[in-house]
Amino acid sequence: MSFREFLKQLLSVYFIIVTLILIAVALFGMVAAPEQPLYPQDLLMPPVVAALTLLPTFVMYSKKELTVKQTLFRRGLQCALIEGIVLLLVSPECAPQIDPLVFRVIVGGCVLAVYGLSLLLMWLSAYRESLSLTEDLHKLQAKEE
Amino acid sequence: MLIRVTRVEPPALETVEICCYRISEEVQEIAAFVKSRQGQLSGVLEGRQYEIAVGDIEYIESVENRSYLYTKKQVYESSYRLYELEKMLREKHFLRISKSMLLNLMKVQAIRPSLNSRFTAVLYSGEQVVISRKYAPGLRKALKGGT
Repeated sequence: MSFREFLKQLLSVYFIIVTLILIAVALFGMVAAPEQPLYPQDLLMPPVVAALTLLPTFVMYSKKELTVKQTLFRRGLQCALIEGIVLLLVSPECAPQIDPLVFRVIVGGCVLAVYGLSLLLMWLSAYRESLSLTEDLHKLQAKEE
Repeated sequence: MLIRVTRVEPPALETVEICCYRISEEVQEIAAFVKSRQGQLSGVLEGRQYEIAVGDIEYIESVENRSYLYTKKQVYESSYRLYELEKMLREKHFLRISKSMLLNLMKVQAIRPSLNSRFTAVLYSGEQVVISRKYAPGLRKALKGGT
């Protein structure tokens, strides 16, 4: 894959992550701090965090196609780097009523859930495409027989 | 080489005859092309040459510049390079799915997504082969628009 193609792919992932962060913030806010006011500048947080958390995605770039083992290893590394970045960015001070350790565990869990969900969405998209390809394949085979 | 095409009427057999001074590589190539058009390919197994029906080949793999024809039961060695076989078998629904492999689409039961952003082709024989990401657009094109 060329670097340009890689960047294009990254852009679509970026928008998925922004959406999922918004959902996670809304759910987390409703449960943990429903009284906390939300200011307009707070809305800048998801796109900025998404951009920063996409930086570790560069570990997935390779000119040669990765094997399943290499992919799993790099995915793990990417997830750990994202966790690190998010935990550095999101301070426990923004929710003083929660114990800092519990706060970090919750944030870490949310990041893991968002990461897992984005992978699931990408896999579902590939799965849908594979079903469509299989259908076309069977049509071709029926036509030739 | 002089090329002469003569019309015949049934019951005369349609024949391709090559008259040559010696059986050169070029002559063998022409003969193989004619065979492949008729749905046959030559393959070597344990020193013996066999004629294999193209429809029986599941996929063709190139290993260290040698091409191997995989059928359900046997693996035959072909004297042709992968790119030559690709050209010969284009109209027989053989498609390049990786740098070293041609897949017979007629032998594929299903296409599945793989963890590393690639696709896997599951053959009717149960065997699975990986479709490289680079060649996936070619597969889409072949299935949507015909080879």
